Amino acid sequence: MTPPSPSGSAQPSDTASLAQIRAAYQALLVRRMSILAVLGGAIMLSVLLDFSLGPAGLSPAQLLHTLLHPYTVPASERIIVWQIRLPYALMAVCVGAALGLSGAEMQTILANPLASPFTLGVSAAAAFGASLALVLGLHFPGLPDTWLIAGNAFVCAIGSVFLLDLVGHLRNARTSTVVLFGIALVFTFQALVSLMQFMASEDALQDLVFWTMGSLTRTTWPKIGLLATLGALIIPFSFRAAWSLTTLRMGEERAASLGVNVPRVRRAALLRISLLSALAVSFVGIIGFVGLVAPHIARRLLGEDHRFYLPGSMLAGALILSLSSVTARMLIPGVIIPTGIVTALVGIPFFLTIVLRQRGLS
Amino acid sequence: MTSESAPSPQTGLIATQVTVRYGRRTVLHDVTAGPFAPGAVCALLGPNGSGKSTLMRAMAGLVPSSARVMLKGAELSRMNLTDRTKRCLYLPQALPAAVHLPVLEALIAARQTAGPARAFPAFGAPEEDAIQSALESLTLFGIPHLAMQAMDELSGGQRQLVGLAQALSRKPEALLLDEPLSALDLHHQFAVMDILRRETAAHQLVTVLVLHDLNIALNMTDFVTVLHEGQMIAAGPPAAVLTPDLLREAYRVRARVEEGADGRKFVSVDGIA
Repeated sequence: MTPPSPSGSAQPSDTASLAQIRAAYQALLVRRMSILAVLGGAIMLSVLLDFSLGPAGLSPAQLLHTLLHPYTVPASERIIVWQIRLPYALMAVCVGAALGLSGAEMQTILANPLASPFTLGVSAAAAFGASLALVLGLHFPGLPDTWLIAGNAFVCAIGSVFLLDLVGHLRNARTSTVVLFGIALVFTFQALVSLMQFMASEDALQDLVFWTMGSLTRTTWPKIGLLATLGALIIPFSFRAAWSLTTLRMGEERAASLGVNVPRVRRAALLRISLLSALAVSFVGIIGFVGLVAPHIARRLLGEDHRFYLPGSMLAGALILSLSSVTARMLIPGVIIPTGIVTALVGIPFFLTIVLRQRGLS
Repeated sequence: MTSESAPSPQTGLIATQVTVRYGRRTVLHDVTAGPFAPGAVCALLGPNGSGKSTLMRAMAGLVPSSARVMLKGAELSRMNLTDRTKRCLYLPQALPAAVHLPVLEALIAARQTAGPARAFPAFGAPEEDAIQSALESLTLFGIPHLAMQAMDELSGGQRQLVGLAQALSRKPEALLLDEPLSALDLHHQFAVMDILRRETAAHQLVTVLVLHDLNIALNMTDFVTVLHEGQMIAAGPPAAVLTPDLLREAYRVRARVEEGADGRKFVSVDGIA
């Protein structure tokens, strides 16, 4: 179509300004790619720090040597490096990324900036599942011992998301209904966990309280492998839905009128979120704050084009959790504080700095 | 750009047997709308709650209905939503949400939703023709200067213009616009009507819009359809349809249709009936 402006036909100056817009848009894309790269670099630094700090006081040279030649060093060093430092540092990144992505998709499909696996009951449901195993000894048959608690937590967490989905499909349900129901789930599961705590023996109570604090210390290599594999399978589907999700942000009816099958997009996203966030929280306990703030940080830094917003939220989540893991080691020398406690303390200043900056895209 | 000769059902947009129920309430009962001719700007009029938006949504396939909708000989009501919205686009009354997204990208996204994004699209620019048609559409509405502004920095009227630009950048064959002038100032109301008339004629679009301003309907549209309580009560050229009797029946007002010195007609409302 020939583009006449309301005041008349196209002028040569219009063509010039269109070229300027193209250049500005290209610059914006480059800027966003750089921000993603900076986040990625920061994560690498943070992982390095996370890996090299600790009460054992191993020097960087010792660490590197143990990493490269694990069987030439004493068993204690090998265990510290290979069974503690490295898996914890990597798990922080995997869990942070999983929660960041889940939170971002959840906020989009529910059109609510307060949505996250934490605020809508996924974490609380996981805690309830864990409490069934820890207090009552209820668990699914056939699972190896080290997976019993995580197995329970996973099933309950995923169940809570299916409940959300179910409510979303009730007649007359709106997205706000789903959010309210999710908040109700948080309180319900918290009450149930309190009930379990009330009934628990002293040992079980200690285990349960510690579980709900959220900690990376339950990490094992198979768990990292499972979470990473699931992420690798799910992430391409999330990224493929980027345009539909971006359109959905402009309004449900508008997205539908532009040809987006809103119920299908929403349901597929909820399925991805449920798998990813349930697995993440079932391995590390309640580390919920990340899924809530990472999307806000990504939105401020990158805008809401989901091609950048989704990876941005993943990286922001990974960075926050990795930094939290570092802080958890440094706060009290010789003690590793449960990461869940530190996350909010680390995340809030980071969050406020970015969200309170002046608005604007460039 | 007139509808002096009756449009043939083969060329325009026509919806028959439109019945829509929300729960137990029947909003539209066996309505036939159209045929709306290509190249003519058609207004859909009626008081609040008369079923205008619902009729549009039914024609676009966005609410479940028994409607049979034909566009230029093709049966829209048998197509899937993606194909259907490529041909016949409904622009909702709600403005595009104030999201943190550059205007240009809001337009690109509206184009790209037709197909899936690449698996790792962050590492590839959007298709060139999406950028091109986004820029053309912004220029058409005189808002290229907003291209790099975020949607959450715009006024309501500006967002309405962006919504219109989104719709036209998809280059549909039929446009169903639900109150496209609601947030615009006087200048932009007339500017947008001019643009719509020009584009409709140039591309032989089927353009139907819900309007509340009867004077715009009288002077700037070619065909009007009036809905009242879920029934179509009149259709035809605006000057023939918009009579004092009709205004009393549909809008419950006492009104006169007068002619100005330049021959333009205008509705003057004396009070409620």
